[in-house]
Amino acid sequence: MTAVAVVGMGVALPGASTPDELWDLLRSGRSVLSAADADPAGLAGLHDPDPAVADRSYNRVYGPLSDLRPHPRLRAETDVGDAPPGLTTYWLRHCLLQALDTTTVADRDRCAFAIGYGVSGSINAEQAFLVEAVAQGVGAYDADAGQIPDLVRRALAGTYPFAGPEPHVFLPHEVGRRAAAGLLPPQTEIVTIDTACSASLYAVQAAISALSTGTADVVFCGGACNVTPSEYVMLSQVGLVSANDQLRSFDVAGTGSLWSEGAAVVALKTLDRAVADGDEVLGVIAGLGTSSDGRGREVLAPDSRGQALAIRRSLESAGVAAGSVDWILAHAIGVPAGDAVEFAALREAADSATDCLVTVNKPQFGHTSWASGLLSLVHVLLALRNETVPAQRRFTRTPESYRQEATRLRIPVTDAPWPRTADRPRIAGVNSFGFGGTNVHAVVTDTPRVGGFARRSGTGEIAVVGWGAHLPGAPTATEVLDQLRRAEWHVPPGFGESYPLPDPVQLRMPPIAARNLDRTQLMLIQSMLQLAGEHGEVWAPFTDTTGVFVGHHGVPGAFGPVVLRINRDLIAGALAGVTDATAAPAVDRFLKSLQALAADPDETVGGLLPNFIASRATKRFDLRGMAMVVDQGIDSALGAVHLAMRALHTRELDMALVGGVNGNSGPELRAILGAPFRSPAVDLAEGAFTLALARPDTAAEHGLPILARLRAGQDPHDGPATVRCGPSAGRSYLGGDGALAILSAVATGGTVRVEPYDPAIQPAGILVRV
Amino acid sequence: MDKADVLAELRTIYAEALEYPKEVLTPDAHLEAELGIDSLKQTELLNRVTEHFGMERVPDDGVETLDRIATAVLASARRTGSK
Repeated sequence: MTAVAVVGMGVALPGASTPDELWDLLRSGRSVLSAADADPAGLAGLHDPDPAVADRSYNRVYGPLSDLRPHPRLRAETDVGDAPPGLTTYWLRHCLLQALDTTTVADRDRCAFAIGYGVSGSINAEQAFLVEAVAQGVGAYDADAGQIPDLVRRALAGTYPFAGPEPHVFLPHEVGRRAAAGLLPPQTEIVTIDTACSASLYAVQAAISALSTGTADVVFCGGACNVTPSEYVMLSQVGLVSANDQLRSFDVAGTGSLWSEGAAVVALKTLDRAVADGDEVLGVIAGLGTSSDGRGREVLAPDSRGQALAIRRSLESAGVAAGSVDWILAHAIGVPAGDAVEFAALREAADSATDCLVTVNKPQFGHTSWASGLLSLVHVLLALRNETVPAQRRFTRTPESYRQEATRLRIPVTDAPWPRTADRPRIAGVNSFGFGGTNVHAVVTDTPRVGGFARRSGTGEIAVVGWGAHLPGAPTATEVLDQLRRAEWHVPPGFGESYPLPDPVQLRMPPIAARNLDRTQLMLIQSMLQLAGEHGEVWAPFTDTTGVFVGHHGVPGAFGPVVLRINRDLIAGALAGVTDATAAPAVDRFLKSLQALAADPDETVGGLLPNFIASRATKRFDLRGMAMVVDQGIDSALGAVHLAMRALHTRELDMALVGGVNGNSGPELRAILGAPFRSPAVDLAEGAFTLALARPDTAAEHGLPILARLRAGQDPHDGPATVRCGPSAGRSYLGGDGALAILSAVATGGTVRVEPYDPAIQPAGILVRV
Repeated sequence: MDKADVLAELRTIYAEALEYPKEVLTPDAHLEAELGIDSLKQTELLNRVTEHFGMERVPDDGVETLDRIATAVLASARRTGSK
């Protein structure tokens, strides 16, 4: 067993630029939400107090991060104009620098940086996308567009000040790279993970997999997000936003959540290494458990069974009885229905005979979505150091329906002492639950005597036991392989304006709901259905331990029209500044097209954000392992394969459905992507690909034929053939390219090295043996 | 009106609102877990059912299948009839 130690931490939250300031905030009882008079994100522009008004938010209270005092080195970089562009990138770098201050990194160390992050949580990405969508949209109404996109960009600059001249630098994989540039070794594996609000604690899952398989020596986990006006509106439209200026978790007076901006980074290494390096151990991760809700509730509704499963798995992984847990730092974002579900999960997972403290920091911090799990982990580390569990604020009593009196769960309203003792470990649990039912729970303690993770080899082979593809024209698996062998496509690059809805019976979803989902969510399920058709439901023996890992890069196609519609009045106001007579007719026609966009009554945020691509599949196939979307640029699906292989090696999973998908081929996406896609020689193509992976012994035991074997890394002596991930035969499937590269290797046969498109990406490749 | 009649009318209401083929809407299919009907939609549909049968509002709890809704509708009809 190996103990995993936290040796560094950094935070950025309104009013707290360091961990010490975060502790002061917790002790003070202040809320970052109460002082939200400043509105840098511009929420006021989309506010209407009437909840019935479409495309507006009925609240405008949030926690803007506008008072950050950057780490001295970042301050110096800022002074000479060397700081990275983009707010979340800047905050991550600030946090990473703080974590590095106490973390020894040796020259030979293999480092990783796993970041919980979503493209829709960046105000820079959102505004850059909006500006390009409008520039391309107006340009499309003029035959010789010429000057028009530039005129439009200039006119929008005042309304969307966070857009910046180079949109691609705000995409998730670039955010991680730029946050770490010059701070971590060039060979660092950088990966962004999106499971919605649980994403940054899922980064800790990735870290533990990497450390326990010996894939990395030091892992930095991060999470960051902005509050973006469009997303605030989407959350408001489904009634999740508080009705007032308070967020009250588990409280009878709670009405909804309020979002905040923030970031956090922690540094993890094995305890042996921490001790050898002389690093102070801030806490020990004794266990970690993940789960998906699977079938049961709809995608936006949390499920206590799934949450309790993650808690139980975490306790099992730590070898800790529920009764030994002193304190659970819950997720509870303040939405009454969701808080009640979480309390039910705690009731189910907790010990019925021993007192356990339960608190939530969101009444003070606000809900920092992608960053929230790590901010909670830092909160626990600070409580260990200061020997105090801070009180829960803005709390009076739980609703009667919780039946709290029948439990031993106690919500302290004054700070509770938590003294270090020689004979008894102090143990806390951290909940982090994401939209779509992506759950994770970590057990944190002050001593390596509790828990730990089995060391497993990360270099063994993993079997491909099935695959499926979903492409326009519905080619069979044989036809897909044939086209891959010839490296020429006979299927159209895209599905066109309107995606053909799958059979509702197969989908298990009413057409009125399906039509409001971004096509990627449906496409991935279709590729899994093809897999099932060709190879059977290979996951059937292990639905509880099957995970879903999806490579996706860019912005979902359905996101654009909705964000444009929400912003149309602001856009119209800004474009009134385009006085150029030749541009006026195109501007006019574009604005008319925006006015014609109407919200479908069944549209929800669950159809729009990329993280739902993976969780939607867990619902359809009733899978209860972890589910995540991975963005590593064009190499996203390869990143997904690496994370999946490690989760199989550690035996956290018995099967992984690993895919890649792209469903957006629009010009507005092309305009924000990096260099390879500016060339018209590369078509953006739409498709979804899924590989079913298992350990070879599991495959043999269940009689699953092994179609190919995968192994991480590459050895130059490992055979001559190579396939490079990325655009081929004139097309790129973006997030799907990595899965396609592996399928190409399978189609080629023999032994083939699949190399990442980006030579800087680590790990450097995957060996495919047929 | 017997239960089969009520079920037939419920299937029509649900099929039209959701655009599901009628044969999917079996009496015992779990509306949320198996048919992907979210709670907002279910509330809206129960309102429609209430209006259609001119009855008191069916409670949102315990009606996770069409069969159970039909039972609730018949119980409501009996209560109204006995007044």
